[in-house]
Amino acid sequence: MSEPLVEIRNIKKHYPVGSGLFGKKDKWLKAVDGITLEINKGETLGLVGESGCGKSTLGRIVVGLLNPTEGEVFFEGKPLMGKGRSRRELGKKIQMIFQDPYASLNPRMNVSNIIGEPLLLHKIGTTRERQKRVDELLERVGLSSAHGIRYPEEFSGGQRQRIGIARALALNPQLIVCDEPVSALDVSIQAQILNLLKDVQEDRGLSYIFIAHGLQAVKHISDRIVVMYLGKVMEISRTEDLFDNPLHPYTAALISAVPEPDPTLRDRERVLLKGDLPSPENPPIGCRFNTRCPLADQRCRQKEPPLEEVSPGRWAACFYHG
Amino acid sequence: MKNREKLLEVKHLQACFPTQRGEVKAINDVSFSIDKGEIVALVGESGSGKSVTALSVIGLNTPSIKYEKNSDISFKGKNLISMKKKQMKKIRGNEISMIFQDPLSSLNPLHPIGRQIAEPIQLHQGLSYIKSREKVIDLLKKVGIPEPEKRLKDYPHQLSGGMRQRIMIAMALACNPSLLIADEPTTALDVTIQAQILNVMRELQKDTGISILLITHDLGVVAEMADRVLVMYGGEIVEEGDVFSIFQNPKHPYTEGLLSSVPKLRGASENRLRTIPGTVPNPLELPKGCNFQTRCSYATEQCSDLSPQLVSNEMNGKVACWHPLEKVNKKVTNFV
Repeated sequence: MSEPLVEIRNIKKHYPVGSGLFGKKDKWLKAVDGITLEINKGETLGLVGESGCGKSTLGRIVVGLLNPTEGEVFFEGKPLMGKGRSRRELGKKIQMIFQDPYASLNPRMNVSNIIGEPLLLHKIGTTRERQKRVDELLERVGLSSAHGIRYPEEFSGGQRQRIGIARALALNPQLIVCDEPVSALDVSIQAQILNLLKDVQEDRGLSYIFIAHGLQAVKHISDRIVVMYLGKVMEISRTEDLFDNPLHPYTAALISAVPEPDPTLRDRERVLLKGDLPSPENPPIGCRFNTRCPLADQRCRQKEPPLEEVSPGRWAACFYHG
Repeated sequence: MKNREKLLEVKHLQACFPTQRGEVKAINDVSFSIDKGEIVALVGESGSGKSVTALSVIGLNTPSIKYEKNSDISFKGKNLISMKKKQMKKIRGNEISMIFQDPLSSLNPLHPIGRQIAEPIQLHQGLSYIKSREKVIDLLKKVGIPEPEKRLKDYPHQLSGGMRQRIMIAMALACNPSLLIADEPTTALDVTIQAQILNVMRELQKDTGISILLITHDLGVVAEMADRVLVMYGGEIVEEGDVFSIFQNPKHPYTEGLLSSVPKLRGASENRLRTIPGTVPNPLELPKGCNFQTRCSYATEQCSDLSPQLVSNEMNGKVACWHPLEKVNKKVTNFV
């Protein structure tokens, strides 16, 4: 449990903005700005934050869909990308599930071919063996092998997400990055997919990076949670600790802002944040959260608080952590 | 409680859309009412008919929609369904207004926001832009936009999502309507911004005494905002009740299923979520009898023969189920 499967070391991803074809690249959008994390074997790490916090970008870097501007990702102690390692090799170890189950499946391929494609690309097994594996996968995710000859358009959103999960499982990866896998689904279907993800994890001892903006789903599935804001980590804690006693004022505000499905709590005291999310193109100086923080003072507007270990396993980037 | 005076009464609303694969019954015999000053939430999953119901009230459904003859929507004593287009235009934006899920696509990108907010005032009250300017600034202040004078000439693209939704609310309230229809008003927003917008809506409701029909799939938003809840499934209202009894003591198995499939933020995490098996039925192939029978764990033969009517229960609510849940059921949380 404690052995890190993936280590993310000081990852940065900067995009040039406002430059023409030959223009000088002097303005940068810092989507991810120096993030260091570890993901243990069999663990689910939740990544939460609001739009523009860089959670999806970080997820895509881990899968190898984006190259970081700076920093490195290590898988079982070895660098993920680099000499002699191709993106395709990576696919055997790390897979991804996407938010939009409509856009992430090729409409012209039938379900068998979609799920079998990773096996075909890696030249695993004979045609018959591959078909058998596809049927097993379909049944694993709660569909039947008869669904294999159908096309994505014939399925509902929840069923498509199941197909996406089957495809991600095809190569027996050790880590799956789930980018908002239930945000586009109806409430009753979300619960089905969350349960399926948990079951699959128990079966295979998989690790997940679970990216979401909704705290409920993240709380339900994660062992540890990373809270991000404008490209930086604000807090890392075990799930229970994070909800029982949030260290960072931003975490506290996020938790407080979620509408509770219990009308008896409607008059509770809420931490209502002022103002809007600043643009990641032009983040505030000092602590990035200072423009909306109820605790911010002069020090926060000048100096950026480092991410420090407050107590064993709990990290926060705040001068006045709770 | 407020004095109960009915503002809107929908009776036997039934509508279908002609499609290439036959007529799709979008809503089937929907009846409900909204009192003055009340917030009523319409809850349901995609395809349950909640948006069609709301759009019928404001007369914005696609023209191809066919209403059944005895459908009736009466608003302040006037029947909105049989109303001529010209008359409806006088009501829309004036007495009934609406805000939508995506504020970017519902604002005109080519006009500054000041002019857009003034439009309903110009249209319904005949004031010029110069004369309505004061009122627009006042509206912007009410919805919490800082320095409203400077914002008047901004275009929608210069504003954030939360700001745009505030503009939409200001525009909807411009003529002091008595009914506001809010269709998933915070679904596209980040949580901290959602909390701000819900707060603005709550405050404005208290100040103006407006009635709100809130359409949402988010049970958290319902619990925080609504006085009364209507639960829709497969084009029908399956349960109605005040917000406390719906959440504490749901009667319909579908309501119960919805409530228990939401992961809780407070308290320890449950290992597995309770789910409703299967998916929402295809509106082209609705089962005979109760629409929910295929996914219901309490279904019997009776449910597949006859569809249950929405009948009043002792809790001052209504439920359409042959086997409504007893009070004890909620306490026994058996995880499937």
